[in-house]
Amino acid sequence: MSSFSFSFFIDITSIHWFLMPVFGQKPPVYVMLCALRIPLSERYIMSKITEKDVSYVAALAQLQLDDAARTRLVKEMGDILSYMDTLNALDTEGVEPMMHALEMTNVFREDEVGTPLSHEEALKNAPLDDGAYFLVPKILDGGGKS
Amino acid sequence: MEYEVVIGMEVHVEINSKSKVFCACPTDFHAPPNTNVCPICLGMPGALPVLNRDMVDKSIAVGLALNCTISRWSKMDRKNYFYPDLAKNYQISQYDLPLCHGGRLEIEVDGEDRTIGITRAHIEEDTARNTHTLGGGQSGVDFNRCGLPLLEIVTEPDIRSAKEAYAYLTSLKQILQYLNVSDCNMEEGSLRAEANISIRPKGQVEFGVKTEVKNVASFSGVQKAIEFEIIRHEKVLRSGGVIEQETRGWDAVRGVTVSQRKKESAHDYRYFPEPDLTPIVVDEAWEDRIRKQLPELPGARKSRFETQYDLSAYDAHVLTLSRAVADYYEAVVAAKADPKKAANWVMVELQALLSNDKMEIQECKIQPDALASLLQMIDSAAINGKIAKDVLVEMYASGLAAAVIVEKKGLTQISDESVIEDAVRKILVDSPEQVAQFKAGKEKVLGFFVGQIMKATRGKANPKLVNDILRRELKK
Amino acid sequence: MTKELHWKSAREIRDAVQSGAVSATQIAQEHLTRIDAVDGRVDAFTQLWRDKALEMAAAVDAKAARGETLGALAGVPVGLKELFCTRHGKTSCASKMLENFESPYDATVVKKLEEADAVFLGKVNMDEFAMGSSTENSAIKTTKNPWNLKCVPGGSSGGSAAAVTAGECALSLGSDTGGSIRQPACLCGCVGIKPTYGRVSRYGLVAFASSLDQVGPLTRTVEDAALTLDVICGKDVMDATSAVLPKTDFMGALTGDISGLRVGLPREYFTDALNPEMREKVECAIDVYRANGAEIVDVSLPCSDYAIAVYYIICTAEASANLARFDGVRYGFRHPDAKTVKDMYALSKSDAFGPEVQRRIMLGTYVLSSGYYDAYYLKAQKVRALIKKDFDAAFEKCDVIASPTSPTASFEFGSKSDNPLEMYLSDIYTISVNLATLPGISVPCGLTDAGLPAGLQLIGRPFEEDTLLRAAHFYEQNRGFDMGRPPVA
Repeated sequence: MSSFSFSFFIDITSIHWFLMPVFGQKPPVYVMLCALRIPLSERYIMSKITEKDVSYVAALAQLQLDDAARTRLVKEMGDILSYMDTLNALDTEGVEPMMHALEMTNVFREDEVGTPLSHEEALKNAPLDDGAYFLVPKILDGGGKS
Repeated sequence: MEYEVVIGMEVHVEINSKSKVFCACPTDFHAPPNTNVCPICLGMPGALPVLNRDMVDKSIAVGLALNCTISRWSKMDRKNYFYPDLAKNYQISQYDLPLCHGGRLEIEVDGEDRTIGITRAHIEEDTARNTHTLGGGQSGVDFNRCGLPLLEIVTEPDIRSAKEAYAYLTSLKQILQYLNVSDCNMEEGSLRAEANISIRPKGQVEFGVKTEVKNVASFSGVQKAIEFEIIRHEKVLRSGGVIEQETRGWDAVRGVTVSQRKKESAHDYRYFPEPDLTPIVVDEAWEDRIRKQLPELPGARKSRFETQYDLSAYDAHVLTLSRAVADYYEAVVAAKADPKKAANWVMVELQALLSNDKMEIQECKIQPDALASLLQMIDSAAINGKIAKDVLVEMYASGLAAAVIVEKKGLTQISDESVIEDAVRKILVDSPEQVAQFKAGKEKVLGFFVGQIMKATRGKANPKLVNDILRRELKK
Repeated sequence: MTKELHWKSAREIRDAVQSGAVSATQIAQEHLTRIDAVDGRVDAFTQLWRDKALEMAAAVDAKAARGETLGALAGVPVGLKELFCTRHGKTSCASKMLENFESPYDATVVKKLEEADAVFLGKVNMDEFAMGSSTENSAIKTTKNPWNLKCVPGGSSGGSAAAVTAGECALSLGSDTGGSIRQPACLCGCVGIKPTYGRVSRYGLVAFASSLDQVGPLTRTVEDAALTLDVICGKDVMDATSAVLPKTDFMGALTGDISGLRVGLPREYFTDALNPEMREKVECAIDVYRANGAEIVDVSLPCSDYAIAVYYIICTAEASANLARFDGVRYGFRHPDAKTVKDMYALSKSDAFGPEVQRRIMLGTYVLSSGYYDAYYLKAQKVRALIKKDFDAAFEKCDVIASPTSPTASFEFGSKSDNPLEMYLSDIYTISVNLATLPGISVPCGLTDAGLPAGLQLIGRPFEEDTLLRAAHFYEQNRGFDMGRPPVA
């Protein structure tokens, strides 16, 4: 996966000629940005995210990254996050966040017991089981939450 | 330097709805492993949660009983962390807008009233149960418990001693049982208590470093663990050491707490609103409906017992400790037993039999009206108190009515004066030595005569008549 | 004109099967033959359920033989996107993670199709976990655009669009989180509708972004879209976010009457910089409305510029939680080398998720992480509210909004796949519709000089699919040209 240079966004309107060799006659990013009149100033921020950040996030997400993937993600995530910073241009003072897609409330189920899956069906897809339990490598820290 | 103890409690209670909090699976976790599971509680791809209305109703009831404000608008959130007991690797819980908040619970410790602030009570789902005893380098996961309705109740750091913590837990459990929302069985884990303990020099405003004690199987264990931690904290601080923030478990055998987990880099749970569930809006009508359904709570019931039945504060307290006992007591009284006598028999005689068998009053074969009948037989002098205790034992074992037992065993009290006179005279004739002693002024031998007469009548003689006739005959 | 059975619409097939003119088994066999003939080139199907299809068709025929009334989709051959849970076959989401996953339950929409006597031919390709706009992110195979086998079918419901367009099935069920039904429909030249959020149950649709996902049909005609929607929509007790609404009659809404219809053109979508060829196609489509008495009004969606940023914050955040369950404990891939719980997670996920899925999990985890929640997630939810407000205001002046579906026609394989952000930007016209929970439909509106389809997107008010379908149907019936059949035919 080659990296995408976010420097394209530095005032793209004045340097679109520079992109011609990359994208041909109609650089799609250019076309799209112009189509949306995306303001291009104040958007370029150096190194939005560090390797340390990427490692921290990977640990939270329980993903294992090799060096190449980490380096690639520093670049890609940095570019995308910088793009997301366009939101800062918009004043949202006093705006209620849209926490739920619909305005519905109080959708409940009644306390009625249904039929569970059969034991066989429950375990059918388990990568490892002993016929009763799902098996995982021995849990050592005794942790979890409660 | 003197230290002040600061304790906050987190209690997880499994609410006794019939089905799980987000799916229709049964809540019986005694079932064989992984048999009460479905796509939802197994976190299968594509499965969606729907909140159990009963859980919301019962959570509101708990909130009201703990004097909380019920949020007009609250929502469910996702708490993200990875653990094999978590089917979705996020727990559906409530973060910044819990259903209940800002409450308090009054407790009494050594005759002193204390108020413990309730920070919040919120809805969440229980996790699966991990088994580490299977061998083969594997742990097993049983998802029967996963998705059980769980209410987390968190206090302010208002608790100042291990005793207060114990009193808080007892009082909380009492309320939960009164509300009939949980069986509160600590051994089975339907009630789980965690204590956050720290100490600070008296007068200092900032909190000390806290340790968290969890996985304790009883309230007294919690109290002992806290006592141990307080002493440990003091020792460490007095010797110039520092307390490490960590989770500790309680080793009941050795009577010590042991470090389980050091504080990891601060948990980053990435809470965000659960998009699969709608917000919970509790309007006044809903809150009022639940409030009207609330049973009389322990404090109010205790006061009423004192005035209505003329009981001592202690008796009223003991009788209202559990709702089942209080209900039983009131049923006995309602069946026309003398309230004071009923109190005594329920608290002492019946309770002794029950605790001997580790049984709850609900399981007792003696129905309240049967006990009332027994007490009425004492009042009408049909049997005496001593016999009544034996009859109670019989009733407890067989479930038969008192009258049946008395009839069958011929235990009816002897109140026929001529029969008692015959017995008295016979004893006096047989015991010239003791008669002489009495006449010489030794009143104590009266007891000897009573004993002999009771023996002769197999305990059935009316004690008052025996006394009267004995004195009359001796004066002759 | 007599059509081969495999080019008949769902409505035509249904009518023929209901009337007894043709058996469901004949229909199924004809389509299986068609798949055998073309799918080697199109590669739309990931699983072909030959026996299951014939069994279902036989059941429909048996029902007819017993004189029972047949369902609204009697005998209609269906391809299901790989992310609908089905008890039959696998539900892989085009991921190595779930390549062997057999769902213990059927999605609600799958049940509804079956109850309506539809016949399942199998499952069709998609971008892994619906993350992508070209179906190139599938771990199973590369689906081609029937109009040009060197070009992508769009995504993420690329298999659905390709299969329908190539005459392999009359109907395919897709899902749309940011354009995943409409954009491939546009790129392949078929009809695709994303209903209002809450219109169709999501139970059994493997979640990508829960507050944005919606199920919808891809078909060759607007009428078939209406027919399918009537079958699959409705309140489902298993989905708390499905709305309680009166019974629909979308078929009845296709009156051919657009008198009084106001079509809004968002000025932010039609600037001089819009690809001239796409612009011309869409403007021609709008002329059809203008010429037939509809009122064309200028509307504004001022927050459009922010939609992509908002979308990629919200969808990745939700996805990072939704995909956490793929841990190799209860189902899915577990790496054989995993000796500890931590390894089980890390090795399994890193091996079985493709790069795009991992990238989105990383982004979503980041925007929710401590210290960034307010700056990204909360901010995005606020701007999402503003985007919805924009649409509310626009819909005071118009009944439907018209725009291109995609800024470009289909493109060659690999031409965008090295560049995640560029691929994200190609969703500009579709994602606002998901953010605002609105219904949107893509209808083919011509071919470019390169012979690739262009699509007109119409957007409607919440739960006003009837107006949307009426408008789309009117255009389809009056556009004055036939899209013809793709060269693969």
